[in-house]
Amino acid sequence: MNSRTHEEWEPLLVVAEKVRASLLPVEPSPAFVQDLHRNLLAMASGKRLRTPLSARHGLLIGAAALGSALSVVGIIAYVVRSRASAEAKTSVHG
Amino acid sequence: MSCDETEEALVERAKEDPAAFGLLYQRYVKQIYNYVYYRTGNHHDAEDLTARTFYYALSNIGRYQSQGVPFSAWLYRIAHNQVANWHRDRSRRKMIALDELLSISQRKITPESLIEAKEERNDLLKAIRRLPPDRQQLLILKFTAGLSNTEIGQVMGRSEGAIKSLYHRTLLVLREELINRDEVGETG
Repeated sequence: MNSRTHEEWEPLLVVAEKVRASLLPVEPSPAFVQDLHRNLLAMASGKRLRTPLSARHGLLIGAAALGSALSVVGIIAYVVRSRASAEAKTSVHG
Repeated sequence: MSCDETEEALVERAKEDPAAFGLLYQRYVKQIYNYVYYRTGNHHDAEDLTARTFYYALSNIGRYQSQGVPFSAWLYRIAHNQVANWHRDRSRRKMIALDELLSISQRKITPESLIEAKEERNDLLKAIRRLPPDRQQLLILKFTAGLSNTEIGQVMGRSEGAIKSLYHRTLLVLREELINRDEVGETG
């Protein structure tokens, strides 16, 4: 730091010290801190509980979709088999 | 929790584990409260906005990604936005609530020098509250939260050099304010 910079900064450091002394840390009320802590934990637990529920919903939807898909495949297989069987009968009688 | 768990790991855990979020809350609640207190000037709104800050953080922590910026910087940004909204909503309501800082102490019988020091502090606090929001933010983060210029830059989204420059300009303004105050005091 050269002397000119020092001369420039010295009065500002005095101001900085006054600002520091003015902006003293304050303490929030313990009751407020505890209440907010409790409320946040309750809210966070609620969020966590919703996640397995959502996962369960997802599983149910997935199972339902799989069931539907299997039903469609079953119907198609039945139709195809019925047609094949009918065609076989027709060719035998014909 | 292991003692050497990094903050990043704790934040990741807090996305699923309420207890981990509770630890982050305990770590930062006083800092956020102080920041909001000096931006609003009264305890009632400081409590309200501190609560809003942490509710918002809890609701959005799943989207938080470190990317080199500490979790505290993210919290300070949320608090800053809450304060900005508060000032916008109440722009018509002029609160000089910092007066309450002295109202109690001035009732006591104290030596004149002590009263003078308190008056100077009160005037300085008022001068700080007249500064643009970014300069108030800088001073509170530096002196109340004890953050370095680099950390303040992370909170405010500016370079360390920009913070140093803003700090220098802010001190110059406050120095002028104090000089003017002293001159008025001498002539008055």
